[in-house]
Amino acid sequence: MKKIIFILQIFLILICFTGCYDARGIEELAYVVAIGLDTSGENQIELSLQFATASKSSSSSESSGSSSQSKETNITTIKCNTINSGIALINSHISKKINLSHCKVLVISEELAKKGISRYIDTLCNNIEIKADCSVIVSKCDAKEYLENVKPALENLTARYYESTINSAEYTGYTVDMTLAEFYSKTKDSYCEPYAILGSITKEENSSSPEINAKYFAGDNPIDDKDIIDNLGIAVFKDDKFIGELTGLDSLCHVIITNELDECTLTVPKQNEKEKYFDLLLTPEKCTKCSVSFENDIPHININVSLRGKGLSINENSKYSTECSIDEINTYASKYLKDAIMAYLNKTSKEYGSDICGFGKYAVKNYLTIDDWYSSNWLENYQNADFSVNVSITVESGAAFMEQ
Amino acid sequence: MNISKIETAQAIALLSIVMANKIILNLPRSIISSTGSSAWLNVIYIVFLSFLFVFLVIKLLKKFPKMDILDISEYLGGKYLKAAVGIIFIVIFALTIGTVLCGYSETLKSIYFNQSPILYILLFLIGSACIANKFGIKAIAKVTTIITPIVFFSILIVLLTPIKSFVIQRFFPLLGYGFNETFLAGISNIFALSGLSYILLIPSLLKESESYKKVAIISLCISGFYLILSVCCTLLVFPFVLSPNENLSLYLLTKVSNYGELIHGVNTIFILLWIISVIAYISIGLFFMLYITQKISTIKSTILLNYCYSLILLVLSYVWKDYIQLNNFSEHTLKYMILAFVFVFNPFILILANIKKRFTRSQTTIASERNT
Repeated sequence: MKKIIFILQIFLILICFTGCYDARGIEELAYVVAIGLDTSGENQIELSLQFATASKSSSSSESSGSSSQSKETNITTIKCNTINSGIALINSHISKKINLSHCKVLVISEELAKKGISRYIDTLCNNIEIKADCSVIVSKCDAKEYLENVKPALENLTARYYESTINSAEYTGYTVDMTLAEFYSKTKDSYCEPYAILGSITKEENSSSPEINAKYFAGDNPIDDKDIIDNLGIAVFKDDKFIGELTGLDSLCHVIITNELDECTLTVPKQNEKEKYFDLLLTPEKCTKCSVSFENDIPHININVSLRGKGLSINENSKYSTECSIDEINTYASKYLKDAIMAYLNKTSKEYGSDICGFGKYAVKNYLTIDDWYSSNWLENYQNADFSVNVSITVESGAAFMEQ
Repeated sequence: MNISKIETAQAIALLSIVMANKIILNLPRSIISSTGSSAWLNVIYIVFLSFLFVFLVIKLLKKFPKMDILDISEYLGGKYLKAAVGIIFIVIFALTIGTVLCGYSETLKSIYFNQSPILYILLFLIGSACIANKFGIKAIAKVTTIITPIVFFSILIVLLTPIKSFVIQRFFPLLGYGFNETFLAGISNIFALSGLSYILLIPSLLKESESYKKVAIISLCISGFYLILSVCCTLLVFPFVLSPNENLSLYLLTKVSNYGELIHGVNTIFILLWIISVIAYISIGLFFMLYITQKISTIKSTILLNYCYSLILLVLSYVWKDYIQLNNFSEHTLKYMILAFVFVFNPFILILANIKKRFTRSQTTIASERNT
C-alpha cells in the first residue's frame, strides 16, 4: 500500500512539475519594443506595435557573438476600441504571440493625450508583462509616424536605442525620464500632476534660430538630421490630459528642482557682451530644498538650489582663477538660472496650473487628515502660489587648462 | 504521526514564516487602504498591541508549563471544552490556509501560469505540504529553519531596493483617514499578526519549555519589524489611494525595483522563494490541524487524516467563485472570526484557567492547613 501511495505521489509531482507543456519559446513570441497610440474617430484608437525583428544575417551575428536582433523593426497598426482588443486582433493576424515584456516606450500622440489617457495607462499598468520602467512619450506628431522615424544611428538594437536616447536626460537635463509606473502613480496622487517626455520628429526645414540651453520644443531643434525622432522638453498634464509643452531649458530647471539632475551644461550669456557666452558644467552641491507655507490659503513656495559649477569655456576673457572673477561668474550664473527657474515655475503655475514638480508633497504636512488635505484642493490652488527662489552656484575652476 | 519536540530556533522559524506569509500576501495593501497615509502609525500601534497580547499570554501560561491552549482548556472545562477549542482552531486554520492558497495561486496564475488550470497550482502546493507532513514536524521545522532566513532576506531586498522611489511625504497627512480609522477601527488590523494563534499551541512542542518566552517574543519582533517595514515601504512607493487587485504588494515592489543594467527579472527568484515559503506555511498549518485532531481524539495514526485534510484544503481553496468573493469572506467574516477567537476567546480561557488554578491552590492550602 505504501509503495502504491509513494508511486502515486511521484506521479502527482510529475504532473504538477510539467509546467513546460504550455510554455512558449522565444521563437514563438513577437517581442514589442514600442507601443504607439493615436486617435481614430470617436472613442477609437489606432494602436501601433513596433516589433523587434531578428537579423537577416543570423549567421554573421552568431559568429560575432552578438544579439540576433537587428535595428530593423516591423510596425503593425490597427484601429480598435481598447488596447487589449487591438493586441488580440494583431495576435490573430501575425504568426507569433505578442509579448510586451521588452516594451521600452509608450508613445502617445498629442491629439490623444489632450483627450485624456488614464484609461490606457491603467490598462497597461494592469498588464503583468509590461515592465514598470517603460518610458512614456507624448509625440507632437502621430505616434505611428514617430515610431516609423526611429532610426538608430549609433546602436544596433532598436530597444537599446530607445534606452540610450531617454537616458541622455541624465547628462543633459533637456528632457526627463518618465516611466509608466511613475506616470500612473502621479495620475492617482493628490500631491502632483503627471508629465511625460515630449517627443517629435525633426522638421525638414527648420528655421529656428540657435538658442542657448535648448530653449526649444521637441522638433524645433535645428539639428542637421532630418526626419529623426527628437525627445526634448516636457509634456505637461493636468489630471490625465495633456495641456502644454515645456522647452529643454524648462526641463533643466525641472530636474534641478526635483533633484533628478546628475550633471548638465549650462550656457550663460556674458554680462554686457551681446551674443557671447560661457559654459558651465553643473552638478548638484546639495539637494534642492523646498518648503511650502500658507498665508490666507495662498501657498508660498520656497526653493533653495545649490549647485557646483565647473567652467568649460576657456579663452582670454574667461577668468576662473581670481576670487573677484569667480564671484562675478557665480553671481551672474546664479541670477541667470534663478530667472530661468522663475519663468519655468510661473509657466507651470500661472499658465498651466499644473504642479508637475510635486510641491504638494511639501504642503501636505500642514494637514492632519486626508479629508482636510482634499478639501484644501491643492492641485487647483497651485495656480495661486507665489515663489521664492534662491540659487547658489559655486564655480570651482576650469576643467583641464587654466586661463592664460 | 511523528510528533517530536522542536528546538528554540526551529520554533522561532516556524512562527516567523507563518507570519511572513501574511506580509508576502496583500496585508500591507489592505492596511493602507483602510487607514490611508497613517498606515505606518497604525501598524506600529498594532505591533505594540500584539506585544501586550504576547506578554499577557506568557504571563498566563507561566502557571501551566509545557501545556498548550488545548491542555489548559481541558483543565478548565474538561474534554468537551478541549474538543470545542480544538475544532475551532482546525476550522480557522483550514479556512485561513484555504483563502491564502486561493489568493496566492490566483496571483501565481496571473503572473506566470496563465495557461495552467489553477487546480494544478493548488495540487502542487497542497501535495508538497501533504508529503512534508508525512515526515512530521521535525522535518518541517528543519526545512523551515533553512528557508526562513533566505525568505526574510529576500523580503528585505525587495523592500529596500526601490528606495529611490520613496516619497517620505507620503507619511502625511499624519492621521490618514482620521483618528478613529487609525487607532479605534484600525485595531482590527491586528489580524495581520493572527499567526500569533500558533504561539498558543507551541508550548507543548518545545524541547526546552523555559524558552517559550524567548520564542514568542523573538518571533513577534521579527514579524513586527517586517510588517512595519513592508507597510512603510509600500506606503512610500505607491499612492495610498491605489488599491491594486493583485494580491502581492511585494510583487508590485519588485516590478518597480531596478537592479542595474546587468540584472533583470529578479522577481522570478523572489517568486520561487515565496512559493517555498507558502509551502512551508501550508505544511505548518496542516501539521497543527493534524496535531490538534490527534490531541482531541483517540486517533493514533494521522496518515489517512493527512490526505483527508489535504483534500479539504484543496476544496476550500478551490471553492471560491472569484477573487472578490474570497476577499469579501476574508475581510468581513474570517478576519473577525480570527480576531474574536485568537485575541478575545483564548485569553479569556487562559484567564479563567488561572483563576481556577489560584482557587484550587488556595483550597488545597486550606485543606492541608486543616489536616496539619
